[in-house]
Amino acid sequence: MSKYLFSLDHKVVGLQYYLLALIALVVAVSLSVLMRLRLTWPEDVWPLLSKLLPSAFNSAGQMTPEFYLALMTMHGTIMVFFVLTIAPQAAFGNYFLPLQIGANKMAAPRIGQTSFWLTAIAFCILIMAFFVAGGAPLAGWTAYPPLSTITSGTGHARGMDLWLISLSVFSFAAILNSLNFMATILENRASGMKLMRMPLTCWGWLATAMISLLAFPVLLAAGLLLLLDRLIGTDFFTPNGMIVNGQILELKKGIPILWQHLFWFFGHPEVYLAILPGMGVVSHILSTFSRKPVFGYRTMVWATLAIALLGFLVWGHHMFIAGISPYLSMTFSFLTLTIAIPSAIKTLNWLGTLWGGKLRLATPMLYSIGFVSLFITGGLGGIFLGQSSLDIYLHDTYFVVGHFHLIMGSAAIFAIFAATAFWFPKVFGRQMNEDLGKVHFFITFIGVYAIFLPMHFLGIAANPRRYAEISQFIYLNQLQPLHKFITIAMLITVNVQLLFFINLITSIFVGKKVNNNPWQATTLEWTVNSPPPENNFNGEVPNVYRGAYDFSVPGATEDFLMQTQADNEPLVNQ
Amino acid sequence: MAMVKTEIKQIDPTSNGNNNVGGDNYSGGDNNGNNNNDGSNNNDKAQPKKAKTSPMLFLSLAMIPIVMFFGAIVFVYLAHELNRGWTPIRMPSAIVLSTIVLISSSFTLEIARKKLKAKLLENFKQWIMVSTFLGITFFATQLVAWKQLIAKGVYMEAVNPHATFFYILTSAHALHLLGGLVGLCYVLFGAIYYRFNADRRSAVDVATVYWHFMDGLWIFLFLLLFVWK
Repeated sequence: MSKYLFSLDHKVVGLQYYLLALIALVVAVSLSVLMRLRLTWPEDVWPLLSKLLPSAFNSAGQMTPEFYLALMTMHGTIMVFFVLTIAPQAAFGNYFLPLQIGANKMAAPRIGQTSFWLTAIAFCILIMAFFVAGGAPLAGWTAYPPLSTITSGTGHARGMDLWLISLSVFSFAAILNSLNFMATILENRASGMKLMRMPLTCWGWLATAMISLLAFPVLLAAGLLLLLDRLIGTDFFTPNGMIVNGQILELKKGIPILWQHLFWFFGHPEVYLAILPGMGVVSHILSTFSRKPVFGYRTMVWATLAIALLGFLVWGHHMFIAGISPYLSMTFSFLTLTIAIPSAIKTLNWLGTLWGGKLRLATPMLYSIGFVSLFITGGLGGIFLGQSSLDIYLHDTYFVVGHFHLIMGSAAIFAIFAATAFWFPKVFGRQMNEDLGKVHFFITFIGVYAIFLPMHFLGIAANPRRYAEISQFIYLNQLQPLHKFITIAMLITVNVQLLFFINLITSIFVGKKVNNNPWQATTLEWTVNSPPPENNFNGEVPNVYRGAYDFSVPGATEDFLMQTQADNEPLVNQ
Repeated sequence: MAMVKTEIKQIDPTSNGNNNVGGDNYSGGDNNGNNNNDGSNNNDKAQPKKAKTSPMLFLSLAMIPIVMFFGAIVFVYLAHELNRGWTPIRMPSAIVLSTIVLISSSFTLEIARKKLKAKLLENFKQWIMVSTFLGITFFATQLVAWKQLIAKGVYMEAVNPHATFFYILTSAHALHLLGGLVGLCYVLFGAIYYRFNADRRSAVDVATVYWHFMDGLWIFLFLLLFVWK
């Protein structure tokens, strides 16, 4: 038992992270269901839930606005950290990075195992926030002071402290994991696996690890300082003259906007952290299932690194209306729009990869194409928001909610689906059911558009975000039918996710058995058994002779050449 | 010369197990650019690669998040200093001693390392002992400094932010230095049992570099807190 619980095998660590991410996903999605039900039908009574968490409901059994905000906070926190930071990087990365670069193990397996358990502990600490006096925090995943410096009352008490402690532990674990990734990529590549021969998945993991090392320490520092503000009354962020519970808090000279700078200096790279591994996976899958090399591999590498670097220069675009100088806003706006360039390059390269390819529309491919679509749509919203003049109007509206949910809540999740379907045969030796997968894909794809595209219209109609209900505002009342539509679309889409889970779980036992390389892919993980032996390459690490995307090479007999193949001779391919 | 068999095989995704034409039961990758059947060696056969986890690489990488962590706190420090200003606390006299002790310990540690490279294992052991002793002394002087402040009624809470930052920065530094001390003790035990020599000294190198790094950080914090106006 302890062999699986505390294994030093990176594959087990990857699966542990994946399981944690799945649990977190279920929890966070449930929270969002509760949110939308409250938002759409604010007067409804909740008989069961009000017995479980009585402080969250008023005497009539209706959900309090404070609890709505707490749900919103926890939904965001769990999704951003425990799903999107973990699944693409720590789950798939820990499992497949060594395999793809031809290593028998990660550079520091003990660090990998430790970082997983620290992350799991951080998750437990976070969930505890629901069950302490005062309940879960309600300051949003962004935890702006002075709201987050209030220490008593529903949504402000111990839950907020637990949130901060959880994220501090998480940050530390993320840094450890990133050290492991960086050392592995820099040192443990097989001979012949030059950096420019690595699959783009590995480049995604490399860029993400670099971002983590630079961004998470800042969150850690800021979180600890905020915790000190709350616990011992320091005033890093707590401003003067707040009136809390009828009492004036004096003699504080904190700077609330300082938190925003620190948080978003972390927070913006964080979202690139969430998307870059997914982009790598999508590039990989599009190429494999088009039987074509990635269009512009070298450019993709530089675009990935450019996005990672530029991501550190744009944090102010979350603060356009926070009171920063308009000249500063102008600078951040300009830099934000420049990120559109490498992103567009990547998008066009994906399209270029597909163009003229012999498309094999298996489920991983469908999810990947869906990713490109969602990324484009969501990204276009970003171009609006990146302009400070427009953001004055759109900030804190549903336009923003629609934007980031299309990118993070849809595209990044589709990348996770794609990676799951793609690598499932390697982990289990069986394929996920294609029919179930296709149904899941189509309904989810239409579903997320139905949920999140209308939010852009809601935003333009000035619907604010983080409101527990809008029925008391005349100018928003007319939007209620659109909210109903969104909620119904959400209920359908959420239920369809059951198909994914059923597919995932049953295929482990009764899925169609496949050989070691069912997709006829080129990278190293497909040269070993499914599941791979404990030491990956059985003590003999392959020699790598070519890049990762040698599909349809002229003169070759097969339409793919594995990285271990020395020349164009049509040797045995698996 | 090896004959390379040309084989065109239809891939059948539904077949079980290895589609292995070569016939050997090598269960890893067998596309090694040479034909496994006759074991010819006309090119580089895959060698088992000893996974080398260079500790120095880990340290270099780890220094990045540490710099960012302290950088964030320093950023908050500067923002507060420029925004509200404060009356700086008077430097506890023990801080001078702390600084001297820490800088000395870096020197002695470097001497120890040079002795090890020169294969003078006894000297190495002695200088490591001195360094460890100085390292522990640093923590003692820090505690004295803290006690000096508390004796004057200067605590961590928000009365004087300069004091708050002093406590926070010194405790953060001390925590990281504690990790360095653990490393130093590991080196100490290795020195006592003669486990290191001129060729086996990566742990010594890593511990030394990290110690210098912490020393440099201390000097920076010292200048920031008590010299920079």
